[in-house]
Amino acid sequence: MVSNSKHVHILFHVPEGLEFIAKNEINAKITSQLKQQSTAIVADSNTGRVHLICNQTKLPTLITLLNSIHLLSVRETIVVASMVEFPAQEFYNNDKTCEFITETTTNTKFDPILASLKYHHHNKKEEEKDKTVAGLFRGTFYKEDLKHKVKTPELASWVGFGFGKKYPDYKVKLEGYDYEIIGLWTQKTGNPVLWNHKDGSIKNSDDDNNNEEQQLQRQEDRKVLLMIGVAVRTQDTKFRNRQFFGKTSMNPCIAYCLAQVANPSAGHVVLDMCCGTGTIPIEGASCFPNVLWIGSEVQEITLCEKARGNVEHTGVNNVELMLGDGRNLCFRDQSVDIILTDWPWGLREGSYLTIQRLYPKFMKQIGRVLKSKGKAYIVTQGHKLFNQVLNYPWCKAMWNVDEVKPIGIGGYNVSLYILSKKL
Amino acid sequence: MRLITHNMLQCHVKNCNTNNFPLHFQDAQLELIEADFNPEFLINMLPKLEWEALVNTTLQLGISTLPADLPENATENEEFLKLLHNTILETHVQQGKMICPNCNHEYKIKDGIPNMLLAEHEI
Repeated sequence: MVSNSKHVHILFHVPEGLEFIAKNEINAKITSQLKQQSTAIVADSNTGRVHLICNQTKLPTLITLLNSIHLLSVRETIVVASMVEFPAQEFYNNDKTCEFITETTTNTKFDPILASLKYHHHNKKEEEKDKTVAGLFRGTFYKEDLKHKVKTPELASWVGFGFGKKYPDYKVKLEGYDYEIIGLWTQKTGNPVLWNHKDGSIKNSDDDNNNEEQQLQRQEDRKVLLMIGVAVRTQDTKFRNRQFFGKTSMNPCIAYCLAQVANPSAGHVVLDMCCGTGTIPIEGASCFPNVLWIGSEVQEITLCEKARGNVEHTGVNNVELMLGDGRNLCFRDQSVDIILTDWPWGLREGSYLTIQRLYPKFMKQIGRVLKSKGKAYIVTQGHKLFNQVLNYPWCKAMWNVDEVKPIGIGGYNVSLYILSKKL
Repeated sequence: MRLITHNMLQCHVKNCNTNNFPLHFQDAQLELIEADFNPEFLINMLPKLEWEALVNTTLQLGISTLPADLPENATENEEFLKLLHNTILETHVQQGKMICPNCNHEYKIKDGIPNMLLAEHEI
């Protein structure tokens, strides 16, 4: 078994493609407080995962930190209790898969983690506590990058079953549980740090699997890893800084990371001209109070009720909202420092035909209102269209494409285009 | 809508390209809402403001506290910065209209939110 009782392994679920931002935040808020040399933090690129590995003696301190600090780029935090290689012959057989998951869960050492988390009878009043039950739990499973014929809820139930076998005095409660026991598998990681820590050594990997050697290792390394752990209770990110959201509203963790990538300076004006329910300006405003965040949106109810409601709910005082049309912006020339926006993809918002007509106009508008050499950070899934537009002669003359970063949103291949005005 | 934002807005009706800034207020209802004083923001924002337009706008609204010209060493003048803060960040126009001096188009402001949308024929 590739787990090491000398070490604690925390897995953070973070926005895919933006792991480096999450790593920075985790370092600043958590690692820095551990005051210890042998702590490794690894951003596993394009997997949506960041790993923290440190000495077992730090477990209680670490849990206290994780329970009390809001990590804005993190969607979920898991204390990994065991990590094993999933044998191929078991993986390709449905029954054996379920058995293997159950068995691995049952053989996992949960005690130190449960003891540190102390979620028993979480938030319940004295009279509500059922003292005959040691704790309430549920199972959850994440398939990550690997498909499988057995459905996710069923895999989750085997995790639960395996846990229940080991702890017969715990009861299942799908909602209102104390402990969430999580199983997840992945093939998409080859980062040596995860394998190295089994022999007692931790190497801090600053290059974050960017170098070639590790790339090769990942391609050849077809091993499937199965991890079993326990979730740390954290704020539900879906409702962070907002009460209202729409069907295509961005997850606040992603918006936070994007604001960090844009990294505006004091006195800057940042415009989101498709702000919807205001997620980007609001997340940005709450992290960068020295900056003016403007949200413009064409749909009246979305802006006047939802976005405004969210601004009031959050209480930020550096967001300005307006009803406006991205095809025809109302700002003075060169009055905006940064554009940070998520454009309609033509999937659930609009159609390919509508975005075909929008994107060229958007590009002309932001070219006008953005200051000289200003930067635009544009999220879109409509690559084919956007790449076409960026290749128009007038667009090429106006813009440099600095970078196109793949990010994963809702299972789609989405990109963050980072552009800068040539003049 | 804060006055800082108004200072950035211009009329964008088709072919309205000159004398389309600043928009003139009509029937404006103001509200002062306190906000944390942030000198770093103000110092860096100051060069981007259209000062003359800001002064004229405040006079229009019955506010006569801004100097016609920027004081020397404005960025070190805390009293000035506090005045600026109060004017551009704490003064909100909650209701009213903004009229383009060139084409007379009306942009309404409702509950602090300006409506900068145009009819299809005006784009």
